[in-house]
Amino acid sequence: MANEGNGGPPPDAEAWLELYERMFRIRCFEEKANDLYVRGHMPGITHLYIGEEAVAVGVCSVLRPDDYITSTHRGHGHCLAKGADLYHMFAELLGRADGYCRGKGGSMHIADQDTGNLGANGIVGGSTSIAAGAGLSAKLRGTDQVAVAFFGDGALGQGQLYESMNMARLWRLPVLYVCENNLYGEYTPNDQTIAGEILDRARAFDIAAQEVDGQNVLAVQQAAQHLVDRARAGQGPAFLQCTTYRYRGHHVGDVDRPYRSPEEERAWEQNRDPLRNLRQDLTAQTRTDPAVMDQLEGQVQTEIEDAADQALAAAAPPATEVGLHVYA
Amino acid sequence: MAHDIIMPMLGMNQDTGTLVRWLKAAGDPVAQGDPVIEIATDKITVELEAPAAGRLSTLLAAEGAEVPVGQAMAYILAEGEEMPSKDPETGALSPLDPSPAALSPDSRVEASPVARRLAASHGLNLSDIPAAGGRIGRQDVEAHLARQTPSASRNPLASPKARRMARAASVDLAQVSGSGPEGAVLAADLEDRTSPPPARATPATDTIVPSPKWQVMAQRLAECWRTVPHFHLSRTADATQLQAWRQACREKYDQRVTVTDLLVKILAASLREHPALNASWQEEGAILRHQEVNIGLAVAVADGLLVPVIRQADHRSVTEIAVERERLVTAAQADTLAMADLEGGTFTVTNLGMFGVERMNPIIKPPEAAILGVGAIKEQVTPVEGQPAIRPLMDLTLGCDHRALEGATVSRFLQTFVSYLEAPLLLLD
Amino acid sequence: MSMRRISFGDAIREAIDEEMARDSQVFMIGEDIGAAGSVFKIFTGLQDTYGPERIIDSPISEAGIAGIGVGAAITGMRPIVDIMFGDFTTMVMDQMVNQAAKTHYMSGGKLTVPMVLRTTMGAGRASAAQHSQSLHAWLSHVPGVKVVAPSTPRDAKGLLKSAIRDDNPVAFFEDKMMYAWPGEVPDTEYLIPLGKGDIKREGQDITIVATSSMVHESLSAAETLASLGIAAEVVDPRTVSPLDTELLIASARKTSRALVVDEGCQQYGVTGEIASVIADGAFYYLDAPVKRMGAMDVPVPFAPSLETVTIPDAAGIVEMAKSLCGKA
Repeated sequence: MANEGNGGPPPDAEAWLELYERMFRIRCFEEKANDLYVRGHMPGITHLYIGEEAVAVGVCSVLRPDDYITSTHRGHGHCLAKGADLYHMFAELLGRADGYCRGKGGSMHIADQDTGNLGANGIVGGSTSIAAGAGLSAKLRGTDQVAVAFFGDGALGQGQLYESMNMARLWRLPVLYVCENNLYGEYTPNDQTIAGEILDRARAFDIAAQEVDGQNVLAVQQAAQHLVDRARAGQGPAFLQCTTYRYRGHHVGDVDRPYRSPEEERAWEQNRDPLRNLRQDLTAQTRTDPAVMDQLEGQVQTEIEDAADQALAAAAPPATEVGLHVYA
Repeated sequence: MAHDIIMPMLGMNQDTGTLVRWLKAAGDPVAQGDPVIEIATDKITVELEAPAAGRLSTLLAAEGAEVPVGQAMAYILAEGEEMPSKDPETGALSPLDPSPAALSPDSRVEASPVARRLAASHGLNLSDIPAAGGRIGRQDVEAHLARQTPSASRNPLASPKARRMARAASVDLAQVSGSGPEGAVLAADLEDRTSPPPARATPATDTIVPSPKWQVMAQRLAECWRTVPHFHLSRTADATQLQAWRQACREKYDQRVTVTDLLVKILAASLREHPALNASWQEEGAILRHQEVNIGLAVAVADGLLVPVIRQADHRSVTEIAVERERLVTAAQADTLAMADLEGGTFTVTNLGMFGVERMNPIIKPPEAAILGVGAIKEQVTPVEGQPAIRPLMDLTLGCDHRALEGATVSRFLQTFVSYLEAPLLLLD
Repeated sequence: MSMRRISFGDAIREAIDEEMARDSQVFMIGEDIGAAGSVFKIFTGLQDTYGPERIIDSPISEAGIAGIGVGAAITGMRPIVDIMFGDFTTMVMDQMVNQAAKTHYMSGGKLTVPMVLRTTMGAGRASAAQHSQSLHAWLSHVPGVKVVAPSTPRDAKGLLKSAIRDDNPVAFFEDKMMYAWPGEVPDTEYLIPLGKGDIKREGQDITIVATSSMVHESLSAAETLASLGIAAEVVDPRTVSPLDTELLIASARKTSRALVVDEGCQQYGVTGEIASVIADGAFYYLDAPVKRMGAMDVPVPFAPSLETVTIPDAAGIVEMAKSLCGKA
């Protein structure tokens, strides 16, 4: 369990409840996104973050609004955890003019500089050097902003990550590399694609590297706090491996999943669910009445339904906008 | 609450899925997560699970059926619950809305995408094209086109420039010996032929071969009149305030200001408010709205008609417009206009008022969507507050491209334009 | 206007020097650009002026520094990324094509990438097939990137300053053979707008459109042609994308003949695009087919006797122009 013994700070019911709410909002958003997709309302393709909520919420909970993140094709959770608004998110997923990117980006490319989100990226290793560039920019501008690169274990196969880590360490850039290791790169178990130890790859660059249970939001938060503080203080980049699991397929259409067993999926959902575990901790350790959480969930569900309804009713961008924003 | 089991979208560009078989029968009790239906798409076969516990309703689709994405195939009903007789959300359940273009009558005709595009690019109705097989293919469209076009007599070889010169000078290329590759006629081969042909013996007529400029004008206007569906709307306006304004300008500024200058000023302000008129129809079926308001002025010159353009008229003062107008008209008459002076127009004004013409139906200058024809200001008797009064009145006629505009929009524009013309102080608002 | 004579390389350095002095957001990153002053020795002393924080010597990590450039540009800096040889732009294609070019569009206009990617082009140094290519057509195929290929010191300086101030990613191709070539530049500060071509020599009989060093071959050809009674007009688009189509078409309409010369390979190249623009816009004014002369469609060979054969030269241009004018 998350906060057992060992002299950690006393449980803060309000802070825990906030983490719970943020994780629940992402889960609920993703369930609704799935529903919109299978009913044919959502064009294109979408990758759900269900199961991995503790990573985004834990890391983003220690970031300031002016800190930067770069995100991935499985990015809705990062965007929401960094402060994105539900309506504009749904509107973008549905290809509406009110979306974060005026319907030009879609599920895989949500960007919102107001919340420090430099964009979700369709190239798995593509954003790691962009985050390093944001870190370099912060350093040159003399701010103490930190840049976080979220990427999956699939990005470990692309060279840009290593070029980026090398330079980040050389120049002590304020960058946190968060590897969401969900055990599968698309449809392939990653023991077939990753040689050696993941953390050794970061250590080879003399980058502080740490592993944490990505299903335990408090553990993620604690580890991220330490590494972000360090980066902010000018002590250079760090690498945080969060072991996690996506409950659904690589994307919504990946429904039969022959590359892993239903038993394995059930075991993660039943034993290591980040929401269920935090809920238990809230009840057991902070004596929070389950009714409080039920009420919170009801409120979030209503928010989600309202935002989705509003987005469904929103207008698509007019064809005249197709040539807009090719050049600034 | 009844839970629907829909045909899910499982991949990009999927419109339907196949119901392979039912794993439960109607009325069977089901637990949440029980497999209920096996479905297949072109990529994958998968079992759909019950979204809730309950009893399976009547089955709404048969095994083997192609079911559209989003359509319910059955419901899971709670104890004592009836199947929704008509799903109130039916509208919301429909798959991605087809684009309005796909709803045209032609969308019902079976045709390949290539054929559809080819037909559209030649302005053909698919329903007019006979299909050799069950659906119209490219060959069918091409065969149809070939039937429509009378086979042209074999053309002599010539460069595009030589062809253009020959057409302008009414020279038959077959009669010219070419000096180019494979005997192609080049511009140089025509240089001695482009003088007017000798007058014919018929004494009653004179053949005049107009200048290339005139030829271009003739060609463009004929093409425009043939292909652009025009409509015209007119209004009469009281020019009392307009004349007072011009008088004031003449007293205040050294630069001569004309009625046309003031009309350009008003027009620019009106177009800013009604961007629909500052637009162009695109052959691919879109309307382009122009960011800049560039107003062309039709200027008669010795050998044709030129339309130099006052760029960004909405950003210019009356005197700036007057200075530019004077420069353009002078240059047009001296034939010293630069290419840039003739390009980029988004709307044209033609004023024949100085010749006493009261009203005209102008032809637009493609690809602009509209043109304003201005008639003479004439003193006329008109009722003012129930009494006959004499006022300077003028007729204004808008010629419009009906593909880009319709009557109501243009009427609203005219309303704005006339209100400014009759009370120019409104421009200060 | 009073003028000075400086080399093409000096013009590049002056542009960067002036912009770095003017705007503290401008910095440059690349291989060997620090103490070494670049392998072409055009930046000698620049790092002394601006320090290693703004003239950053990087590892040999083209993809990584391009990504760092994108990240820094999104977050308020104006990076100049130096890619030593144009041949190495293959390494930065993901960052240029998938990231820099698309970020503004995919974000619905929210994020901008004001970054300049400087690199070289041109054969003639017996550097063989991996250090001699002219790959500017590759990036010209991507909407969202502007591509510049200047021919004179004056144009290079004015265009590079505009490129640095532009809010879009700009790829700037410098023919390495021209670095030592002198030319006149104004004494006072000036800019040359992107997207505007220039008539380098006026004429009535044939339009020769040429880019980069091919402008000089064409001007030399025009001298010879004049002695044969053919007045050639030499037009330099200066910016390859977006093209100054108006200027190209107007010139071809005037002369009724056009020849396009560029050092990229002819197949699917810059010459093809420009020829097509002219054929389309000036068709009814043309008295001869539009011809093009690109580099020969072979990898650039090493032996000088072979290499020279692959590049268009003045003599070849004269022959082609004569045949188009019916004087072969």
